Parts: sequence; C-alpha cells; structure tokens
Amino acid sequence: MSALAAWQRAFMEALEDEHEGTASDAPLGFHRASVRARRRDALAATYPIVARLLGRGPFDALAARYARAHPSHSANLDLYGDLFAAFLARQSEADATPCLPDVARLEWACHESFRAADAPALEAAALAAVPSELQGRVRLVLHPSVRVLESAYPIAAIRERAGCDGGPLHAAAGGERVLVHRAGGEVRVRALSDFECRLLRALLRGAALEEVAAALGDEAAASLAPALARLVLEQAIAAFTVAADRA
Amino acid sequence: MTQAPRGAGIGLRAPHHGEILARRPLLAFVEVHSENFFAAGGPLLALLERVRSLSALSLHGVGLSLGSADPLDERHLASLEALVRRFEPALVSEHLSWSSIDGRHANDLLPLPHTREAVAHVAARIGAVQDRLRRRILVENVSRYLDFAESEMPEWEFLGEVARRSGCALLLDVNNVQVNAVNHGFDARRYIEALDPALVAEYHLAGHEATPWGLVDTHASPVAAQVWALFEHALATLGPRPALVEWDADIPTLDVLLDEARRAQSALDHALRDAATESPA
Repeated sequence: MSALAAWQRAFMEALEDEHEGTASDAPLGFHRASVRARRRDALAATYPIVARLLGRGPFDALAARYARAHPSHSANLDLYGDLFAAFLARQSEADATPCLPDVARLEWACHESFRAADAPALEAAALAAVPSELQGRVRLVLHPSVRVLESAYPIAAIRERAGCDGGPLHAAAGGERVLVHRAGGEVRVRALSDFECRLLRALLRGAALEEVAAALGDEAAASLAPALARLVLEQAIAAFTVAADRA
Repeated sequence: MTQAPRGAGIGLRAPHHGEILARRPLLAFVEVHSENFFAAGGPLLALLERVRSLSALSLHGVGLSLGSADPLDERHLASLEALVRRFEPALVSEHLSWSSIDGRHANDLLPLPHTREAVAHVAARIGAVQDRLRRRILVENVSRYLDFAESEMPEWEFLGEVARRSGCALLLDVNNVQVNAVNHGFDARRYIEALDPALVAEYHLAGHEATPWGLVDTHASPVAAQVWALFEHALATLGPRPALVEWDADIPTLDVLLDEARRAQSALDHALRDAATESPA
C-alpha cells in the first residue's frame, strides 16, 4: 500500500510543479495540460460572464493562478471555483474592473441555485387559508434555490448585458440588490428594492411574519403584502409553518 | 435496472441537452458523466429523467479515483449511489485510474503503475464499490503518456487481472488502446487479443490528435481511421458489445455525433451478422 501512496504523492508533485518552459514538455506535459484544461473549463462553465468580460487569454491566465492558489478539494468539479470571487477581489483584474468579484459572486449564486434541491412552490390559497389571528406566526420557507446578494455595482444588469451580446459594457451607476432563484427549470435573476431585500433577509433568518413586519418598520403596512404576493407568484417560497404559542 | 443496450450510443454533453429531447434520435443508449448529475435537484435531473425514457442510460463516472491510495471518497460514493438508485441505469462504469492523493484532486484520469500492489488495491476498491452499489460495474482502460519503470506487467495483463480479481467487467476504450500502443510501442491488436472476451461489456470510441511526440487523447475530433479498424478487430475478436462515441472538447453538432454513432452501429451490425453466420442457432 505504502509504495503506491508514495508513488502517487511523487506523481502529483511532479504534475503540480509547473515552471515556465517545462510545463508543457511531453510526456508529463500532456497530463498537465489535461488537468489544466479540465479546471479551466469547469471555471469557465461556472463563470461565463466573468470569462466574457475578461476575454479568453486573460481568463485562462486567471484560471491558472486560481488553480495554484486554491487546489481542487473535491472530485466533483461542480464544487470547484467556490472561492473564485474572493480570490478575484485580490487580483489586478479587479483593480481594472472593480465589479468583477461581485459578478463572480452572482454567478456562483446562480450555479448553486441551478443545482439546489427541488421543492414544490407554495400555493397562495394555502397561505390565505391560515386564520387571520395566526397569520403573524407564519414562518415562510424559501425555496432551496433562493440566494440574495447585495452589491455596490448593478450586477444583474451587467450579467444580463454581458450575457446577451457580449458587447462593451456601459455599467450604469449605482448598486443593486439581487434575488437569484429557480422557477420553471430556469435560474432567474432580478433586482430587488431595499424593502424586498430586507424582507428576504428576515425570511432567510427564519423570522415569523409578525417579527418580519416589526423589523421592516412603517413601510411594512403598505408594502409587505404585495411584496410577499410577488415572491409567492415567482415561486420563491416553498412552504410555511405556523409556530405554536410561545411560553 | 433497464436492459443492457445492444447497439451504439453517444456521450451526451451539455450543448446537446435541449436538442436530444427535441429530436429524440434513435439511439441504443445514451451515456452521461455521473458527476454532472450530482446536483441535489433542478433541471439537470429532470433532463436525465426524460433522457432515460428515450433510451437506455449509462452512468459513466470520472471522479471516484478507484486507484487512489487515499480512502474511498465516501461523499462521492454516496452521491453516485443515490444517482444509481434513482435512475437504475443499464450500465455503470468508472476508470482504471486515480485522480487524488492526500485530499489533493487533479480532477483527471491519471494512469497507475502496473504493479501487483496496484492490482490488489484497485480490485479491492472496485469490490467495495460493487458491494455498495449492489451491482457489477465496468472499468475502463485510460490513455497515458508515460511508461512507468515500476510496472511489473503489460497494460492488458493489468486490466485483465483487475477485472478477474474484482469481478468487474471491462469497458474497452479502443481509442485509448491505439493512443497507448503508438506512444509506448506495443501492438494494439495483441492487447485486444489478450483480453478475455467474457469480461468485455462495452466499447468506447473517440478522437485523438497526432503530435510530433505521439498521439494525444483529446476527444475533440472524429474517430480516427486506425481506431475504426481496431474497433472492427475488437468486434471480430471479442464480440459485439454496446459501443459509445465520446466527444468532450470542441463539441460538434449533434448530427456529426449521430453520424459517428451510425458508423459504429453499422460496424456492430456487420459483426452481429458475421457472428450469426459462423454459429447458426
């Protein structure tokens, strides 16, 4: 057993030992190139907008640096790239294009959302059937695919434009709060109002509706019901529970 | 479990997901990479349900790292087991390779030294996987660019020994045999003739690239003429088995892939006719 382990350790070290000029030398270079391509392709599949914004050459160089900084920790390449946004924030590419790390965060959220567990969407009628005196104790369960992000950049707009035509980016000024979730087999991304964002944060914490309303302040009276109705319609809510009386 | 397929199939990759459901081409089977469907939920699994209703399904793993000296990856195996239970595929396969050591993952199919120690190690692990999945798996020969001084037996003997000791079946990648034969100077036909026909349960066909150094297993081009010839030799020597065309980079239109599968089907049909002529029932 130990001979095989030692042999594999030595092989892995040789594989990861990439120097300028020798990295692609045959024959070990073919194995190196294959490893590099798999990681690069996995990263490009998860971060297509970052890849498009940077262009092929710069993205490949970034992917190679990421691979060295954060070695793959899973046999499942779906999990590769989990630290890419944080890594990107420390790179010179982010100095030139400051929105990139947040675009990457949005793309990772989309990647997770796409693969999140299935759950039936909540029927509005089921919620309406809860007796009014118990409505405040309702705790809404968000769909497992729901992710909420806040950025100083208009990341949903950037994603949409870069995704459509790949043309030059004229980033509008101003940040965005973004909802990512899956409905009808597709990941949907939309900008949220500040109120909707605070509402979703409260729901993600598992707060009951009376606590949600209190946390949202005066605006809740007029805005809570329509905001919730929209989330139900969008299939962002999967279920609810009604908490028993607290002692 | 669905019936084992008898004809040719294609490896289904993301660019063709929508088109295959829209067109429903007649294929004996469709093979997917197991790891691409390790999601907890969502449209990928819904797609696989629909694909499975069109043709027999083969789950082909690339991440189990059967040859690794690390302990078997319990999480990975659990994900694979869940997928196998849910989709009851006709075939489940993995590679005779390793991809991780000390928790470091190359996420690639790295070759093993052909040692008696490696045979015993990998055969035991295949046994554990088969026990866990409660079914026989197929194990595939991989391409390699290095010949290791530690090796104690030729590749075909290594492959045969692993299958014999573990009770697994073999997925013979004809392109990998050709790539390794050219790169390491052995006779590809002799490799095939050395295998026990009873162990071989599936063939893979794919494209490679010729470089000044040798052949590189790229899966980015049509199946080469020499590989088609070697496939015919395998069909005559080992017998007709389900055959799959793989294309993983620079993926062409679905039509190009289906043409390659038709060619494989035609070779299989010839072999089946020849077999019927030689040994009438």
